[in-house]
Amino acid sequence: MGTPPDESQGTGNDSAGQGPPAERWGWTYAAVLAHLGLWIALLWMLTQWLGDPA
Amino acid sequence: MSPFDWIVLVLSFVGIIAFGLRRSRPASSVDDYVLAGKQMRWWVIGLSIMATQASAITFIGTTSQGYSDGLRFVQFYFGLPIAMVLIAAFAAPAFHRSGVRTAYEYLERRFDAKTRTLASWVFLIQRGLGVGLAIYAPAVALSVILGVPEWVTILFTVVLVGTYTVLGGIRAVMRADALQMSIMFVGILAALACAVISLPDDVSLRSGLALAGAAGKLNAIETAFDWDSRYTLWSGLIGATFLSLAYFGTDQSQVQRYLTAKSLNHSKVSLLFNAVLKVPLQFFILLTGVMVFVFFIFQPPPVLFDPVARARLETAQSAESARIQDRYSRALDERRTAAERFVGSPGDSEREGFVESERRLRAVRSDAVALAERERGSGGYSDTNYIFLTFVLGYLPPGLIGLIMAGVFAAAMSTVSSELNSLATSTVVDHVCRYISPGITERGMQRALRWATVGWALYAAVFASFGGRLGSLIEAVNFVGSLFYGPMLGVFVVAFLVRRVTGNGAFWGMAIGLLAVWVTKAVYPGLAFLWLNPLGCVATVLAALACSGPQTPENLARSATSGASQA
Repeated sequence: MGTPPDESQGTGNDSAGQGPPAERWGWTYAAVLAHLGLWIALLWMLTQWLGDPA
Repeated sequence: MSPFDWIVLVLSFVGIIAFGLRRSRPASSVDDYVLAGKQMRWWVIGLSIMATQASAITFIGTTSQGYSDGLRFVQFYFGLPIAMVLIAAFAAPAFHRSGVRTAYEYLERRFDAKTRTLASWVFLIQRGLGVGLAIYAPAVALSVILGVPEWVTILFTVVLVGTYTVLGGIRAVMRADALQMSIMFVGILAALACAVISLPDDVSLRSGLALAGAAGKLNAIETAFDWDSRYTLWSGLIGATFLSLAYFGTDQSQVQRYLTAKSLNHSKVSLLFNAVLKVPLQFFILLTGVMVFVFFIFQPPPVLFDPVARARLETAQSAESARIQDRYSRALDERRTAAERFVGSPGDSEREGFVESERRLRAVRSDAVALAERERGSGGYSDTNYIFLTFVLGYLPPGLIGLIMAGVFAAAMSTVSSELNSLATSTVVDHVCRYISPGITERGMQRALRWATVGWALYAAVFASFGGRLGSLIEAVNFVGSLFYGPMLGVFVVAFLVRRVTGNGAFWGMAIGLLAVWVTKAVYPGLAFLWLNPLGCVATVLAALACSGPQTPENLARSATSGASQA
């Protein structure tokens, strides 16, 4: 899931808040999607425990 | 609202404008005016993307949706993080490297002028109608609640927003967006805290959630597959991914935000910032509505939340009106008693008793809604947008009311300012400079951008002023909007990913994609609108491939040449 290096702006390995080096973007995307998966799992558990699933 | 609330409201407006224009010297160039000199940081862009998407109706309508329909609407946002990852991986680098000012300019570099112009017109029509609605829809609710004429709310919003958008360009818009989004965050969290704190002493948060769950308000995930059901896990993961891809990846009002980034990394992080925060944010907004529902179990809500319709019902003096109000009072008492019994002893029979009382109350409210529709002589009555405002104005402490009303106005302003700015940018860059005045100077272009912003602001004000008389046209606007996104996404997908597609292929692919969506909607009107987005996208991609002819060396060479000119 890697993307090409940040060609326009040098190394991409600059100060905090500017994102990880280019080769690690794939892991960042995976972490974001895992975060979504975690929320779906939490909401599914909420539905099962406290909701009224049909 | 108390004088203290008005002071908080006015101070918020002054703060927003001052923050937006602070240190914003007059734009020295066109790039400064439309791209903030490509100097924006990820957190400003991230908040601006979020604020642009969150309109006033998101603020007051989503909380109210939590009240009436529970958490299931959160599924609509599951596609957003997936879309943001794909945009960060594919679209943002392509836009960033090509150095374009509008998303549609990219289409000309990749294909040809007619594809760019078609896409730009689709955007101008769709967003042009949208900006009028973004002002009109909240103005109706706010004018009723605040007791001022609609035109006052509309004029106030347009003048305030127009001032800093025209003067400061996108830099002022985005800085104001960041503050506006922060006000919205604080307002929503304060409202949630107040709804929880205001529950009776013997009702804990756990008991409140149990009541909400019994009433079906905590059914966040719907796993059954149904083409006609608007919000399910599958329409959220598939349909909403396409919708979000189209909105954030091809709509100039969003693309322009991340084109202002000081580097590609700042663009990507701003998109991922939204990917991470959006689902939790929407969850808390909906949860606020759910807790307002629990609050109104113990504090009797009005039979109709819209004050005008309620007054009409109360003054109707008919036997049916009196009967409904009497039945409603009794149903409220029964529900409260059943809820107290369930909270005191949470067994199956007590739960069933509460569920049954809730069902009876809903039936009475349905009768009241039907009567309201008869009284006003038309169907489709909804008081959804009044529920949250009724809670805020009736039950929150002074000061907080002003803050939350500032949040509602901030939500409207952030959406409108970004849309005005992007409409002006596309008008001037994609049409004035391209066709009307190709040799325009830098100074002339800056003047044109300012006048285009003023023009769109005036148009939005006029559209919003006549909103009440447009009636079914508003529904038509929303309907037409949902038809455009899939084909628009399709043409960008082939631009980014399919090398062999030619300019003619892209243009006719988009036209055929639009037709396919319109025909499908006409043949199968019950299809949930989220499914139109993947359908339009896939139809456009296939048609573009078919219309591009066979994969000959000449075709590939032509596409490679146009692609090379992006750099």
